[in-house]
Amino acid sequence: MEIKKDLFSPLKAWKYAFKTPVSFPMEDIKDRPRESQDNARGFHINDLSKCIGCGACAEICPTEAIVMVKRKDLEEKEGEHPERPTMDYGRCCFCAMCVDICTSGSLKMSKAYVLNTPDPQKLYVMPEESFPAPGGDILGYDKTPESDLLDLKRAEMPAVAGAQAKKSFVEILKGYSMEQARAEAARCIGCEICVKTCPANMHIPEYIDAVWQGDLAEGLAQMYKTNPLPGICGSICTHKCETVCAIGKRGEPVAIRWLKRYIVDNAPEAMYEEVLMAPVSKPGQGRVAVVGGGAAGLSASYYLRTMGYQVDLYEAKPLVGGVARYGVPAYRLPDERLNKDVELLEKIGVKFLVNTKVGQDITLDALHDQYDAVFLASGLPQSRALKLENGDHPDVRYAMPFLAAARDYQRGAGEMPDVAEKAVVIGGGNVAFDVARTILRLQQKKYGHSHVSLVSLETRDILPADLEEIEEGEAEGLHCHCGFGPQGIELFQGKIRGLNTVKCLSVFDEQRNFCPVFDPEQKGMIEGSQVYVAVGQMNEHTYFTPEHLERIALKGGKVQVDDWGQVKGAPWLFAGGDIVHGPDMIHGIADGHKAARGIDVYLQSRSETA
Amino acid sequence: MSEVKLFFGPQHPGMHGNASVHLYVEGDTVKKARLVPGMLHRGFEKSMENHTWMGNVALIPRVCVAEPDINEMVFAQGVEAIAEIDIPERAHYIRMIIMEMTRILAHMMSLGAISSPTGLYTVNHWMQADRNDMMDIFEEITGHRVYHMYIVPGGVRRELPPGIEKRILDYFTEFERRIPEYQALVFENPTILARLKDNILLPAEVVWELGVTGIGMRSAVGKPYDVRKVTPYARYDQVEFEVPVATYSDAYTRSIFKVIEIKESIRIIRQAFDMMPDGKVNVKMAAGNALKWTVPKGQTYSAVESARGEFGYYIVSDGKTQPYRIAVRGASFPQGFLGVERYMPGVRLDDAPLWYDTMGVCTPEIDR
Amino acid sequence: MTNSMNSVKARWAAQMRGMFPDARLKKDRGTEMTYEILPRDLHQILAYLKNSGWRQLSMITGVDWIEEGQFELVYNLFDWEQGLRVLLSIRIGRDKPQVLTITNIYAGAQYYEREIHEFFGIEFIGNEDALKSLFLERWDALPPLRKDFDSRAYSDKKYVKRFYDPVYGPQGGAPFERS
Repeated sequence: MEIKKDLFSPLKAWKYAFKTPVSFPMEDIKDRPRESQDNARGFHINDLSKCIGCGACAEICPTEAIVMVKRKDLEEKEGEHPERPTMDYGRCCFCAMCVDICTSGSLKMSKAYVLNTPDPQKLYVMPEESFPAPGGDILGYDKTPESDLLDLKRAEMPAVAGAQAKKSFVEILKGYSMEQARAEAARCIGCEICVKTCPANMHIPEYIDAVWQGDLAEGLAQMYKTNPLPGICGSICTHKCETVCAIGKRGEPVAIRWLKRYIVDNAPEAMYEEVLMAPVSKPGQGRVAVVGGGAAGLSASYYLRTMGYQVDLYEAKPLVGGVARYGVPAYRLPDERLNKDVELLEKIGVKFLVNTKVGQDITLDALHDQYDAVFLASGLPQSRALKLENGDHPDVRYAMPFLAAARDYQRGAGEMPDVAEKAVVIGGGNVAFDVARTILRLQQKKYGHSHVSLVSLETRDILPADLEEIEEGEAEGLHCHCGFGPQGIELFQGKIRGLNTVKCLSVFDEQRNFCPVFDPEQKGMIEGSQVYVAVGQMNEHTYFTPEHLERIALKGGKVQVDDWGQVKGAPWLFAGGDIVHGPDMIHGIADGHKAARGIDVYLQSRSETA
Repeated sequence: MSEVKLFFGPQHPGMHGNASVHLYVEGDTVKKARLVPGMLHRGFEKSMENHTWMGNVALIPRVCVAEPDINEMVFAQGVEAIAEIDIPERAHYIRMIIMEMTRILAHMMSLGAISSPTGLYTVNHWMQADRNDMMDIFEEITGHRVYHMYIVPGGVRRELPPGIEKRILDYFTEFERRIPEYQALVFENPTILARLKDNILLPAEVVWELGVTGIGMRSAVGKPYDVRKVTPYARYDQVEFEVPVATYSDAYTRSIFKVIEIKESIRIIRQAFDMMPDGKVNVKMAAGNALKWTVPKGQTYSAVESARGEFGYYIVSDGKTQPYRIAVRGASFPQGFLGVERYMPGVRLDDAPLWYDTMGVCTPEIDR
Repeated sequence: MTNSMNSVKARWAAQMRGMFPDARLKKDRGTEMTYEILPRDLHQILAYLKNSGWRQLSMITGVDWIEEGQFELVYNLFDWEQGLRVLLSIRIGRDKPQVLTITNIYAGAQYYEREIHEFFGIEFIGNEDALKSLFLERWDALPPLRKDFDSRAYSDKKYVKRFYDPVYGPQGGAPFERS
């Protein structure tokens, strides 16, 4: 390379002496600094009404600059924490990972970058809609789909396809493999918003973390602290937790229910015994009777037994389990999983007295004499009646007895219920779909083809049933006639020909009261030889004598209790589950736990005063 | 004459970063020299063990202040090698563009750093002005001017903003007109030539003895020993570019190589924009959210060619959410220590900062 | 990886197996090969590699395997002509760790060994320069890169923390409670 040496070449630089300088003047550098480019990462701005206080930003901040501060002017709401992020700008390195992981999309960065103050307190700021610095009201950095640090898609749950599913009662959802469960558990950010919403306040982030670590024993222990029936919950819980999951704000919520089921399915018997049969510290003294072997009753028995009480559980049917055993079809909750939950109770010493109906084989007063306390959890085993023209025909069937008979048949303990070739189901909730899809399977088995029509007042968008039920039902060939009300049964030569329907214009009035409005002009008839009614469940309080009813308050059939589940008017009697709260299984489990503690407090206080 | 102990640094306009060089000077000549580092020791290797894999992306650009993207690149490459992840094609090209732009920035800073020892302060100011425009471009792409935190394991963090290709190419057309002005000012200037020409020689045996890499090695050994050519990463084998070599290494050669490399970098960037396919720009490095990303067990060493030589990270992972050990190989470690101890003596006192700069010693990557 | 490079690698790997049967190839990542060798073979292998083209010592690193009670030293050599990298890994015991210096083969190792001595406490026999401190001045705790040194506990012990009350933006203050 040749080198040119030129004495005058440096003088060419002088031409820049007469051009405008490119540097910014010093005078107003603080008040009007140069504007940043787009996408600049400046000071934060946060939309406080969208922010849910999940704390993901605080977890990921590499410099630990974000602290979640509780604000007293925000109330405790479902689906959020009353906390908001505060940034310590002495530590913040402006990496924008907090923006990329924000679950609700409320945290962003503005274009402000000059903050000059002698007071170090002013550098510790809770960001709001705009930042108090020049450029703080202009949006700078916001996340994009590729920079998102959350995983918004669920791991795919393998399932039996619709057309195949109705050929048997085999469980539709096959369950996660270990890899899928770990990948799904890795989506959780541990914000604990779900814990508040769960009626049983389960330790959800802890057992999800246990699945991620591969530590099933820890997962079992965490679940059983608040819920002794994870097998049932893992299959049919109404998963209120998933509706408020922070990841669900912009993506699919973490599959909390399926992870619970993963732990139950994969924990071996030996692990159950090792983890869950530890002795209790201060055993209580006393005998407690539990009426009803459903979710609430089983939950109460577990907690009472671990507190040391002797527990006798009375169940009218041959097997315990309640709706989980005799209501929900086997393709949603197979017997094997339910047995895993129930067998643990037998192992820890709960005595099951089956085929014993309280109110018939033994009276409530007898229980009051023989036991120190009684927990009433008899549930809603009967169907609600519907007034229909010709509604007393023998081919008009009711949901609860039918489902029980179908389950008994499926487990080989009873005859196949006779189903017609064409059937009509009235109702729009989960039970109606359970009935309809059970009939589909029985028809498929008996005739080789199936035809079921479902009639509901609600239109498809406001059907109370779960979306999964509706979609799976339709995939199995269910005909849904949504938005029609039943008028009467059409008979022909003594047999049912079909259901007369009339169009339903609206179901609820402005005050959300049940007040359906029909249009009598738009009529129709849906063909079918049998009509199944699934419009609600009823209790069966056959054990209450008139003396009881003078002291106990019943409101619409629901027993009135205080916060512990103690019945007002009869301190020895506690109640919980569907007869107190209406049909919801996880509430029942939570009630069982609360009542167990309430009974413990009651009996301890009695023995102290005695 | 007696020996005087002088401190070159840590606060000195000719010093890169903050390190202290103890000089024992007799008259005008340096008799003994010793680098006393530690003033920029921030404990990175220990800190990196205490952050998650994604959290480390925010920490590591600060290891080498002058050229932060090389840290992100070696980290991302190392993690991808251990976890055996394939990143989309588009990400490779975007990374190449970012790395070359960073190389241009680092070379310009180094050119500007000749200014204080030689007294030609104008170069420094020009360099700042040109770097400023490029840093504005970086701000639009990545969000930040200096510490970009843009290259992550799995690709790059976000898509290029619309219109950036035109902005970059227009800027380089403009910048190429100014390179001859730099050359006229610095390299045709008789005063500067007198300082640089035939001064601060680096023979080939010294290169092999110390383990010097980068421009120092290529200007002495005469072979294109550049990591981009010898073990190409990120699609460098698909673009055409030259690596300047020479067999006689003095300060002038090493400085003029920087200008040649800047021109080659612009050529690479233009080719990369032409060849870049459409598509995604990243894949997630593991399942779940960023707090729970793990890398399988393994160890690897990944290196890139920085402006000063071979820069690498040795990454050890034990399957958890945090690295087990990351060791940083600063490109100027050999020159900074053994070079100063053995080959600075004999240099004139006013050439000591010039030695430090043209040999390419950058203190933050030595101290970590 | 070109065919010629593959054949070079294969030939060279065969030579290594013949001359140093105790050297175990742990991982082959294309252009990077990791060998696990015994400490007593270290100098021979290094000398052999240096003469075969691996003229550059990129770095020497230490890793603390505290659960196994061992230190691992990794010698990182690069051959610029072929573009092949060799990592040699040796294991030494954790109490009284000692290793012979390699400055007689690679002069550049002098400062790498000094750094490892300072951060891990490994003694390099024959390198007196390594006993002096390099980066840390007046260090009063364990060698810091060891796994039993807790940097957060040390920082809490040495430095005072300050706490601040958060300030709000233009909307004004709201009652808060520090958790």
